Amino acid sequence: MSCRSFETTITDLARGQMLEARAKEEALAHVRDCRSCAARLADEQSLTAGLRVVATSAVLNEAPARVEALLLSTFRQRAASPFVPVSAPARARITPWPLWSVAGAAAAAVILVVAMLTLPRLLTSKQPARLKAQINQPTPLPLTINGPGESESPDGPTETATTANNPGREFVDYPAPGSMNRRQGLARPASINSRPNRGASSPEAPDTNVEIATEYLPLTYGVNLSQLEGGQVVRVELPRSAMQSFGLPMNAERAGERVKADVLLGHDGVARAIRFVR
Amino acid sequence: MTLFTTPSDDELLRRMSAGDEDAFVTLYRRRQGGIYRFALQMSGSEAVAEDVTQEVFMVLIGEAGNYDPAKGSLSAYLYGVARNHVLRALSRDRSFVSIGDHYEEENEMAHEGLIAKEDPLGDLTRNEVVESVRQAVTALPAHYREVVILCDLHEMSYVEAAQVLGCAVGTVRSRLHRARALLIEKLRGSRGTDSASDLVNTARCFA
Repeated sequence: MSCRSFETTITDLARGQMLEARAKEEALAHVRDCRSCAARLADEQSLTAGLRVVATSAVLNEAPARVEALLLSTFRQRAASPFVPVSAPARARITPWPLWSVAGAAAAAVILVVAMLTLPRLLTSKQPARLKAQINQPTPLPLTINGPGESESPDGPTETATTANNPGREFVDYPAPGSMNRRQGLARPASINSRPNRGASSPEAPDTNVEIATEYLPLTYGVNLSQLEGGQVVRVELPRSAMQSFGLPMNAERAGERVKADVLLGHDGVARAIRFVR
Repeated sequence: MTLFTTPSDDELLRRMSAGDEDAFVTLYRRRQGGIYRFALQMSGSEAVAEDVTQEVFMVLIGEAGNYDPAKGSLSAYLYGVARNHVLRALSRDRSFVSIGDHYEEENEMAHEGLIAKEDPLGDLTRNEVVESVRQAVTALPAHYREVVILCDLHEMSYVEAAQVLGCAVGTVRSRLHRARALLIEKLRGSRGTDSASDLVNTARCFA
């Protein structure tokens, strides 16, 4: 027997396991001729003895009596009503969350994610349903929202009010849903969701004066923009740092600059929502 | 004359499933010690061992139908459930034992250098033997630790251990061989034996 062959039998030999008589004889004969393998076998036998001591010393280790009491209580409950789910009421369990609660949490998370994905679309499709309706008016709505000298409408503003004490602000009426009239020529608030201002440029010319706006961001908790009965949109300028307070990204190097924004006011004059315009 | 025979695990389980409380108590008292010790030796934590024991028998109470006698003994089934819970607990909190996973395959052949210059346990008292061997077992990687515990500490056959672990008998044999070599290495290492000279001797032996 070679040393490699001996290696395949040494564990069983040292543990006193059953070996074929011939294999055992060959292994023992090899040990007599090979000092290294003899020493290796001695190590293995020594380890076996040590492991047996450990096993013997641990034989009195048992689960505490409270485990049996708890299990017995559970067994009795189960026997009384077999359809009651088995649960461990005492110690902290390996699985801390019952299956139903995990499933419930998962369902709630899915609903939350769906709501987060669809709510902004609903807001933009309903709230500006009125605004979009205005956009679809055939009358061009050329607000002078880009400041003096930037008026893009050849027809002039339909309805624009620039206050004397607030030269940078333009007020735009925001009609109630029922009062929408195609002929009223109601002004619309600048561009909606990155739509270019009409009349800003001819179809052939590259459109360089395109306004890009964010969604309307509610300014008060719980406000439902789609429920607004009407109001006004006010174009204002704000420090660029104001974008940060709404969780929007901001280039820190341009923090000192100002940014345009449309503030949606209710009939009561309270600002309800804001969007930033570029 | 009445013959008293010890009911088998399967018989106790059948009676237990029918609502026999005595059968459950008998089965629990027969098997809880081994399950508790297995979990304790695997985790090194009494709290984990207690939880695992509780969980194993909860499973037996609630889902006894999952046990298939064709796949192995009830004892192996209970050990298998215990093993799953222990591994889950270990993965949740690795502070229970210092799992020497770094002690892995790159040293796979190092055991061939285990040539004894002296008895690795020879100079130790019984308590020292218990403690040093116990620590060496606890420091083994989990997949080696479990075969040593099942085969050497719980004296299971290779077949039973394979049923518990859900692997082939040959896998159990090879893991046990490797695990014992690692244990000898650890025990000798703790006593400062020069392994380099051992490697030289190994080379001669295998030449």
